[in-house]
Amino acid sequence: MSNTTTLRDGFISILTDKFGVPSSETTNGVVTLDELGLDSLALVEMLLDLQKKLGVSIEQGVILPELTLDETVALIEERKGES
Amino acid sequence: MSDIAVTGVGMISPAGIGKDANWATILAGAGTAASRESIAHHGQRRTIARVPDFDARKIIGASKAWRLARFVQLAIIAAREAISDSGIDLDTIEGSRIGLVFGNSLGGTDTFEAATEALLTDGAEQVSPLLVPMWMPNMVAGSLSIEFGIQGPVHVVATACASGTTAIGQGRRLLREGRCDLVVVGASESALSSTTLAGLANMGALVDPSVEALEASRPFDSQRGGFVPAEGAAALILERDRDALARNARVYAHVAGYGASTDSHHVTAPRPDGQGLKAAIREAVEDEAGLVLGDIGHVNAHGTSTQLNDAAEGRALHGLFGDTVPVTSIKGVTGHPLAAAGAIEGAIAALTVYHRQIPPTANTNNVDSAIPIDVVTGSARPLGSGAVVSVSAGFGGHNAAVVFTP
Repeated sequence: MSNTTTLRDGFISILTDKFGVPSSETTNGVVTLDELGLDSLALVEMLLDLQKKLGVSIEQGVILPELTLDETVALIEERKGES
Repeated sequence: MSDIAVTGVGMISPAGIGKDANWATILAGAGTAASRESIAHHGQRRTIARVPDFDARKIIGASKAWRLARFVQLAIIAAREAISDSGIDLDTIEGSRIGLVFGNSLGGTDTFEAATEALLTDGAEQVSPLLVPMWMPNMVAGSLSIEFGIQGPVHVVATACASGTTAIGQGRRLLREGRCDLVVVGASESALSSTTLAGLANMGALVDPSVEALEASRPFDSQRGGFVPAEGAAALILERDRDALARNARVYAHVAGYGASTDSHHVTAPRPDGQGLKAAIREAVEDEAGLVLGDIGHVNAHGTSTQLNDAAEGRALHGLFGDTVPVTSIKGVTGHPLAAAGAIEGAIAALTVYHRQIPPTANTNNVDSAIPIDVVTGSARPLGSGAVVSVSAGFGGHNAAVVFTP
């Protein structure tokens, strides 16, 4: 399994397990985080999970509600690569 | 004047999920085996009563449940059932004419405890941004208003273990003042976190965990030894009687009177002579409901199973009603759900009026001889023609009573 797949799966697990996003809604890469029901408070909460579960540190204000799922995964991958 | 009708009831407690499950379990008067658990809290054993088989993600949805503290989850479930049970479509009422009064005492103690642990273990950056909105007691009312589109006056009352009864009484006033056309009243509590339980245990309020859990809560019994902390929520829909009649609604009971007083005595102990409680009951029965004490056919008591409460309450009830009025504490079944107690007991009192049956006091086999009142034990009794009064008392000296009539 590639690192990319692992990070994507890990992110989707956070969405489904923690935030209750239905699995069926996470197969569409162009859906936005806002459309998945994540508001600004949820996104800050998500940063804690990204650090704790994926070891990815992202500061507040970088992941925005209008980002798509694919864009968010790309950002996570980028930050993981930097660490 | 019995002009305020109860048209919907919702409940979730250690006696079950839903109004019918609660009524059946409480009427049976048996301990709630599956809901009692003795758990280790930081090395200390506690006997507590939780809602059995509770999965908030399944009941209110995973995407909503994660961001609500458990006491709010319970409130939403109870209020949703009460609204549905009333048969009313809230969209048919102007949002600003719908009110809500809900009781809570301790807020999201489990949320606060987890945040404190995160702070001390991993640092301030790991504290959830949802800490404050999940922890705040008022968020039970805020969340209910968002969930159900309630845009009129929305209040939280915190009179400790009297909160639920206070909420019913204050909600009744919003209708009588003409401020609202429908009011959701009730209370919720889930504060079974390690710190809260340690504090309650260290003040000597809790039952010894070595006592058989199923039989640990035994109100008014000579062997009572403290209360069993519990969780739960209940909600009632209140409407003016004429509005309920106009839409041909089922009316469980009427909220005929409300009384409130304060002991002004001690932070946790009740006035030993029960004078404050007597004053609240008299106000509810005589001043507000326009009845006389002889009209009361049943008392749904606070009856916590502690030495001090049951003795003081027993004196108050004996002083008012002698030993001829049947008295029940449903805490033998439910344990003590703190702020939610008065709402759950108010809901059961309304159902007692509706079904004309008085639930027994579970686990009470030998009524304390120093408490000369007619405690209903063993099995249910029929309710005569009288009204029912539901009584609550709380830390801080709060006393409240609500009278339910057919």
